[in-house]
Amino acid sequence: MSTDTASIAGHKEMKKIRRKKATATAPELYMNTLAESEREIIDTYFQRLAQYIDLPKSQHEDMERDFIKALQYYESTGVTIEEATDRMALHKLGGFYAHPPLRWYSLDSAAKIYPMSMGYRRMSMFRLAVYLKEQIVPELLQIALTFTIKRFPSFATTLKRGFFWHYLDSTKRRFVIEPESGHPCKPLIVHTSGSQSFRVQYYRNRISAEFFHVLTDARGGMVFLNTLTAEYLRLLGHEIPEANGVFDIGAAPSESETRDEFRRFKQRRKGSGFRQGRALQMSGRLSRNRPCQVLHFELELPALLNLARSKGTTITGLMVALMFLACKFATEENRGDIRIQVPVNMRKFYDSRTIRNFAMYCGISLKLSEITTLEEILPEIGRQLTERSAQEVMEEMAVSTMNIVRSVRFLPLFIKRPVAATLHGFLGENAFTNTFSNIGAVDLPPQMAEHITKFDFVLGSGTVNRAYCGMVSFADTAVLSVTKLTVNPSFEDKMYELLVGCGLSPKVSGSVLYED
Amino acid sequence: MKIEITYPEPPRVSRWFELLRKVARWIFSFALVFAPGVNIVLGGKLWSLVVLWAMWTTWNVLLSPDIVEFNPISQIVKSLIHIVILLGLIDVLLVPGWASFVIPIVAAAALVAALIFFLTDVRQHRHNMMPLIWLTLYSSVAFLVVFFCQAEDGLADDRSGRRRLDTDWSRDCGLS
Repeated sequence: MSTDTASIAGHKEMKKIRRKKATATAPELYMNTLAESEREIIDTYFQRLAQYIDLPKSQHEDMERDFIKALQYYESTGVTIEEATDRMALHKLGGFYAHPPLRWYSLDSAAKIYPMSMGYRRMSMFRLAVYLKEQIVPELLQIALTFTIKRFPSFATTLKRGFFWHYLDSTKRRFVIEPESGHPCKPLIVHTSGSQSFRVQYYRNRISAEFFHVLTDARGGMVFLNTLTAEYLRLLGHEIPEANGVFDIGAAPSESETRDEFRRFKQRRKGSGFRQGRALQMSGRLSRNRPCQVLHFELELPALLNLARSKGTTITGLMVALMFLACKFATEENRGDIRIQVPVNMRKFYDSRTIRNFAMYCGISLKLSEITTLEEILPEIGRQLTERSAQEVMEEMAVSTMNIVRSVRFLPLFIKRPVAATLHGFLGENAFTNTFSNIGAVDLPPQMAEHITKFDFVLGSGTVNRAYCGMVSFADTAVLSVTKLTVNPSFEDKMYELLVGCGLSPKVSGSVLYED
Repeated sequence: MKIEITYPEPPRVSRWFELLRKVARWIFSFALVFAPGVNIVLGGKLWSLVVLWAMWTTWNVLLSPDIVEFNPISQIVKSLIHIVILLGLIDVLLVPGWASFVIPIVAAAALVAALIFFLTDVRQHRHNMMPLIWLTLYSSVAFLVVFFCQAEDGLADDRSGRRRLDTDWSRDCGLS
């Protein structure tokens, strides 16, 4: 009898253990693999982690798994548990994942057009990428994003539709990194509950961040990427200070960082700057994949700078001039205007800390017949660049933007949206042949710079322009990125030929042609 | 120009939905011209309006998914609005007299469905409240419109009824 009872009790105990094993959480399973002394540290660590996270159960568990993977990575590289938990100190989470999402942000005045003009498989995107000297460790990159996102509350948002305008609604979730796949700058899924308006990807030694333009412009995006990369490097054990465009993730985000700087432009006078005719488009059938190819022309910065100086112009002036020559070569039209859109960072005119959109643009235009040789067009391009990107002109354009926004503010969105989408087609893309956005040199703390080889900046594609160009320089490397919307290689072939002709010998890399 | 490939090979993307949209766009564009044309030639009731609205509903609800705020609640609200207008058109243009009974039932069913979705995950769906708020607003406006229309009709019936009574009374009294 007693043997039977013991056997039943033993059986029950075994069942209990089995059930417990089956329902054991990821941290419990992980702890079973550790020594007794380490188990205690990890147990305390995960108990504290639970206090920092108030997310739905599945996301909570996913986040715990992220930390376990990072700990396992540290273990595999010989980093002690104490050191690992110290690098991933939980105070870096702050209260972000524990507080309910209550804030919302109105879109800045420049961003209001983007959700109205987007369509099925069409979205204004851009991408910034940093190339490190070593392969990316995804386990640590995920933790770096988990720690960094709280410093950028306007990025931790979901796009929503209001009655008059779209807006950004705060969201608290596990923001995820993903391996690169598919097209660069492919549209994000922003329509689901809690969806994010940016993505962080990795491939070999590259970390890239792609943004929907409603969140930020290239300058704000660069601050995010640099802060994320700095945190990633810290997790790898490097000492990286918070300086030169790297935010302190422990500091509280300030109101000035999420301010709509266009509000400073009052209705002082009549604005101007949007009235432009149609521009010529380069030839070539528009591809179904957008973009169908991304190319990077890697140039030596000192050589490029010397060339620009020798021609009495800037890097932007020189590149725009080369683009005019390449665009002329790539079009079959024989008359009309080629117009290149050049975004202008307004922060150079106004003291601003905003990480939201604060850029305007100017159009550099030449008649097809006036595009002859580099030497002949450079003075005119230089003149137009100086005149049209001057503070006064940019201010007038910003005033125009504000005037438009103010005049339609009480129109319901369902009326505004189709009108805005149509106007954007006429005033936006059709008015330009190409775009050249130069975000200049990236300045980083030396302790961080030593781990980085280069950056690149890719503009997402639109609907009509066959190419878009972005440029960024770091240390001794300048990278010109061409985003293509047609299989026709005329533009990039001519650009390459022109750059080689100038003695620059670019190294070309990029994606395969995505065309089916 | 030699290109070093530094991006992974992209996976093949299925394009069936894009193709479906393309085919539907052609069919709908054709019907947009053909249906009113036939209706005008043959005369009679304005059935082409019902056809056009039904096509617009199909396009809007099934073939052109919302690119912002696509969630069960917003889709129920969107479908409801389209269907209510369609039912209203059928009632007014083709077979009158039943919509005031059917539409509230359809609307109530949709509201219950939206509430069920809302209650399945309150934490997530509290961020999807906006469509429900709009639905409440539209419903209130619709209710007020129907209420005042019926009150007007009732008043008119009342007046005509009283006139009839007055006439009957006068005749009974031999005054007319």
